[in-house]
Amino acid sequence: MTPLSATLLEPETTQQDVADEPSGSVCGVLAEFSGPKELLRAAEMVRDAGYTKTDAFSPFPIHGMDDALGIKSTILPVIVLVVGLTGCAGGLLMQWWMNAVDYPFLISGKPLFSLPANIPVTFEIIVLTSAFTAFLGMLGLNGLPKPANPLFEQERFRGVTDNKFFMYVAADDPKYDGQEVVELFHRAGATWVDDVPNSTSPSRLPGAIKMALLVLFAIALVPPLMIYRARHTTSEAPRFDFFPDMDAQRYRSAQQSSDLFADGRAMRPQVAGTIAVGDFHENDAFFLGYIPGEDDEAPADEPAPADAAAPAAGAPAANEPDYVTEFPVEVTESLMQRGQLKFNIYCAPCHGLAGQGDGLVSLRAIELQQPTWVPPTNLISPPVVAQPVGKIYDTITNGRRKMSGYAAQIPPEDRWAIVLYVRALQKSQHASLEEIPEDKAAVLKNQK
Amino acid sequence: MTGHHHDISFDPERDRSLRDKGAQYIRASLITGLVCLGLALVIGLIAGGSSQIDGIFESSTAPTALVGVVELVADAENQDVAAYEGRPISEIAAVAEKEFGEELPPQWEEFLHRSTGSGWQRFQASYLVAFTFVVSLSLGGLFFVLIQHVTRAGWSVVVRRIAEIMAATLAPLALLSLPIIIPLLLGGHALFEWNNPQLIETDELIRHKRPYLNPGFFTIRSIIYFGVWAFLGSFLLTRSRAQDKTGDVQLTHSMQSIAPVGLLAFALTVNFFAFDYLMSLAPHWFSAIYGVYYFSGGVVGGLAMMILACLWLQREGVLGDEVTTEHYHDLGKLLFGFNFFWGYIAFSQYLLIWYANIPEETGWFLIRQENGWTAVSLLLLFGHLLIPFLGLISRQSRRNPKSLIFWSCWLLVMHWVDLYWNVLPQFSVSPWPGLVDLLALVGVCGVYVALVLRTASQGAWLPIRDPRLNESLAFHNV
Amino acid sequence: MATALAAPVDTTIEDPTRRPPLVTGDHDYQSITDTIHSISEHKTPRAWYIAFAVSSTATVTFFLLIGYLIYQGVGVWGNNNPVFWGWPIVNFVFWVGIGHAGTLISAILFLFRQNWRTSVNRFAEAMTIFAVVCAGIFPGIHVGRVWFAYWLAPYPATRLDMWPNFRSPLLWDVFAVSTYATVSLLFWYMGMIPDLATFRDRSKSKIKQFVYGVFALGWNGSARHWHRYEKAYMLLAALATPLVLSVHTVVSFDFAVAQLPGWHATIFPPYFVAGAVFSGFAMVITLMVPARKWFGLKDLVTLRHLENMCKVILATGSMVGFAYAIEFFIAWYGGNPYEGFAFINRAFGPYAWAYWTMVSCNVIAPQFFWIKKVRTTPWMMFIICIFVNIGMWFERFVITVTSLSRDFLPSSWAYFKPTPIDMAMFACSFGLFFTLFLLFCRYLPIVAMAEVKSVMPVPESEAKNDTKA
Repeated sequence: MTPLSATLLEPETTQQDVADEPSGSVCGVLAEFSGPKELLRAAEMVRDAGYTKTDAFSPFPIHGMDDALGIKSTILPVIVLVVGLTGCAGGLLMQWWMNAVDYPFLISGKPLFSLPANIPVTFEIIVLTSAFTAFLGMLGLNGLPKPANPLFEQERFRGVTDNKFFMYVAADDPKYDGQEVVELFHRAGATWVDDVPNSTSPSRLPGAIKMALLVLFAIALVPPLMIYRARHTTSEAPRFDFFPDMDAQRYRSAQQSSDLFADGRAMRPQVAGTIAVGDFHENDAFFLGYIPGEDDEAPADEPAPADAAAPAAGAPAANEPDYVTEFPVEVTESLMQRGQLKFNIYCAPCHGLAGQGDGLVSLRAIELQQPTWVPPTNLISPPVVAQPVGKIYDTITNGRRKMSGYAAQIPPEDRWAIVLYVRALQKSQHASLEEIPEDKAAVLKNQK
Repeated sequence: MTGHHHDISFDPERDRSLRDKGAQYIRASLITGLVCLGLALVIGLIAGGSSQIDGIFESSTAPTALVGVVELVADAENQDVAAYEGRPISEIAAVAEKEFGEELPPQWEEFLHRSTGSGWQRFQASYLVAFTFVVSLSLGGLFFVLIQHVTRAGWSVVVRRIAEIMAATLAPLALLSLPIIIPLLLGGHALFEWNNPQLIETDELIRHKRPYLNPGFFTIRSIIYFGVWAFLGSFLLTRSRAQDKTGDVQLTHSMQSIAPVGLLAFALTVNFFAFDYLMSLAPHWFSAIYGVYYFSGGVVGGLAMMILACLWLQREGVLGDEVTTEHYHDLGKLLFGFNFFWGYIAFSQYLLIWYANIPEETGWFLIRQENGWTAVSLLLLFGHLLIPFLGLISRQSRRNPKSLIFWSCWLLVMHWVDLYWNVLPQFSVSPWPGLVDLLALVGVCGVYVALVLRTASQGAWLPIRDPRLNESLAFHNV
Repeated sequence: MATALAAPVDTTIEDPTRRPPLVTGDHDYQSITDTIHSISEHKTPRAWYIAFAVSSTATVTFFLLIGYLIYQGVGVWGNNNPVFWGWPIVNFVFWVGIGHAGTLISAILFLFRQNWRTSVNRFAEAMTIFAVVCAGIFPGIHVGRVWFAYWLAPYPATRLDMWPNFRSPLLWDVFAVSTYATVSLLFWYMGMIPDLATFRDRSKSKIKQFVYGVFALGWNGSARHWHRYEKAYMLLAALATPLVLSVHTVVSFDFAVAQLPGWHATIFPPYFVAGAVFSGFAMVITLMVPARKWFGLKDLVTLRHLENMCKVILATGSMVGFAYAIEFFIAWYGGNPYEGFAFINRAFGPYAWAYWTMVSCNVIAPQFFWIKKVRTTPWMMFIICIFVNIGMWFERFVITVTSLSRDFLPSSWAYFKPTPIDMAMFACSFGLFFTLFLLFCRYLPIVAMAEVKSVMPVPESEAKNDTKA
């Protein structure tokens, strides 16, 4: 089974075939070999003959072909490593910036940037970026996808993905000489040799397909544009809910009718002669912060509604109720501390820790330029200082302007504690030196 | 690939000279080992284990229990805390005990245990580190042999004998467990706090674990562990050596059929060995993955030792060119893979305990994160996982003998650091290894090497008539 | 060596002196191509239509049920206080677990040079992807307001400009499962490119030529292409190996980072991974045994292939049993009364039936694989693997439901009951799985032809040369 005998056994190619072809339209010579070992030997011969623009084709990778063809090791692993490390750094940076910088998240007492908990996501990002690089890098370095190829026009070449083995020398090889290559292939034991003419079919995409792709692209743009428009314009039309999202719930609102009860009302009136638990308010000064006038009956369950058209604070208007001016509770140190605690929980987010109207919520709202945001009142300002304690209490209870009432969240004792603390805050900003205890005043003087 | 026949040349003269040389090595390492162990014991007993208060008020990682108690004592004696600098902790403890008694913080007891142990305790701890270290290397070897048989591997035949010898050494290694078991049976509790009669009285958890953690059952279990390993190790080695003489294929069958059952027994024994010898050092602590953790570190150490042994034997001329770059490449891949696996297990254990943040579990990590132990923890993270990961990731570094020697030595050291980090924080506040640790390590390793060489001296270094030897000789990485 | 061609060969005989052939029968390169290609080229068999009708009906039902769920809300499920992780999460973990065998076979066995994988890897990878598709749906619909599922992506949600919480294991899960799905898909597709080119070159119809041609990307078997292709394949395998570990590890973190008794055990990560491989291989055998019969693949997927998979099932099943035992031991050893109770409750509480189903299916059933006769008889392994599939579903049920239903607070204990919707959704998710699978079997190369050709016992030319010589 010498290479020569193989050539003689299958004299499929004639020398004339090659000679007839005008050399300009030939892009290389293709030869078929009977198996992987023959192909390997041929590749070595072609390499030793000094050809560089060569290639071998087989249905599966052949061990040793890289050496036989003189293929240099690919740099793909290096690219993947670099991208993987970049992915690692990028993943960590992303988590750090999102959870510790841009919007700090405090979760289960862990530090804002807690490395152990950031490892899993970082790892996944490394794998994802590296895997895409390995795949796309392989395609890119191989010049794929490549729909048109002169070799594909050879009917015989189709077998390369089945059971055929081919060797190819390109015409633009510096040493290329059609005749010599053909002879070399024959010497190497080729069972079939032929020139590969340059591709006659156009390699560019047909216009129709281009057009179709363009139309598809344009259509694909429509939904994002519609979303963009919907998000940046206003509309009079009622909202259309794809998902109800608990917007419409099956309960009755106040003042609505209901078939359930004989009187047709959804709201249930209070049973005559009863007071709901916790609604028995004996001491008006303590519970309301003002003494109700003779004319309005003090409602037991619903304190006086917030005065919608409240005049400017500090100037007591004629229609204002009779606010208490003295604390109806005993003022103690522990009450003050309670007040500080509750103030910092309920009030400080908007009014700020010092009550100057600079709480974090307010700052964030202003930073986001929320158009409907009304800056909270500066509690240290003279108008508030001038308010009687009962009025401040009433504000906490029922709210004022955009601020809602806190009666549901804060029990009356704590409301008074807060009022006391607000008074302390006001005092802290307007105190004279004489009012400060001796030792603390000394410290202040030293600072000056 | 066919027709690749390999003749193992046999030269009686050369063989005799090698044997003599081997005997010299055995004597030398055995003597070195025993001398070092003796020195370690003496130094340990003389130097004692008591530590002093050193700059704890400057360091942010000083043990909180100590800082708190020194402040209490200073307050009671109306002195500045600086006055306590340099005084032995035991002295402070005595004062604190007298002044405050029951009011001392609960961590104080534990801290005291770790900081004022005797020199005997320190020696025992250092010995335990060295002992579990060499046992893990042999277990790595045993695992390697079992896996090769289970998977019917052909590539590894030329390096399998080394692993077989390491595995068979587990039988004499059982003797090295005596310095741990005998004191325990005599009622000692320097190493294992759970044997402290006082704690058994007072500590509810230790009492709860008493049916498992008691000297008698501990000894029985140790006998079972070493019995199983000695059986597996010598079974595999004797069969393999018998094949050297007869070439009987049936022997391969018998090794292959015991391997799966052997793996099952291996998994159970290694797991509970790690629980008993290492996890129970902190008798309150528990981690279900701990056995896997010890196992993964052991495989890394075992592979590193195999690579080093192989290269050394080739340099000595005992092994010829049968072991090629291709085999080293594969061993390097396994080393890389199992080191990553160790990292995976270590991270899983840490993350779950860190995240759930339950005090009964976090205490174990807490004492490894203060007073300088942080540096050792970070050394493990970088030195055991990340740096070798990058070092071994490239194909070239796994095929180059020099780089393999470097990384194998590196990982062996790191594996020892790992065990040191597992054991010593229970006994020492300071992370620095002392002379005792190093002497104990050299001592136990010396004895171990002598045992390995003695086991090896009874036969060939290569399974010369294994049916898959040709496959292994012709093996080529794709 | 040429005598190895003599058929039939019993590949399960243990003979250390030589390797059994990975492909039996009188096959050459072309006959391999013919065997695989004919499956998609022949007229569609009637059985396929019937199976497809059944499975696609189930799929449609599945999506209708999802629609009903979205319309009605999660109240249609049995999830209720205290068991808020009911069937949907059990189903999720079940399907994700099944999705582990594919990548394990493709990647880990590739790295370990276990050449027998070549005949079954394509099949298992396809199974992986379809199982992950089924798995991904369950947590997706479990979030309640499905239409906001995109908030899981790193996207500043709503007007608050909030990012997802990267320290939550549930978010890790999103990253892990989606990465896994993507990389498995890449791996599967990349492995298929040469075979798609084969289909392109051998298909008769123009449409098929065009479609396969598009997806084959112009592959022409060039040695330079093969070189980079093999390197990329190796890299993907090396990446997929830790990835496959990470996915079920992260799933185990979902449970184990919590403080709930029965969930918080450090053994969870490796134990979940072993369980996933266990269930995945069982599913591969469940599908492979009938498929190799119907599609005539007995020469490519030999008994030895099946036997090897049975061994993997035996090994991982033992690991799972080992982990069950360690869990129990540590629950006692740890001395935490809640932990102890959780395990006593598992074995003897109201869910004892589920627990013992799990133990008998997962630990006892695979022990039959110690017997060689069972490992080499397809119908027997099929039955055992069905048991394993059932057992692994129950394992997730036991872990999820028993711990939640009885935690620290006895006053809030309750017995979880699934609704018919729960059951129908799980059953119909199999419809989706099989629909995708049937389409795969019909239109794609179900065996990696190029890889099988590269490990064939005797190259065609050598045989030819032998006869010539």
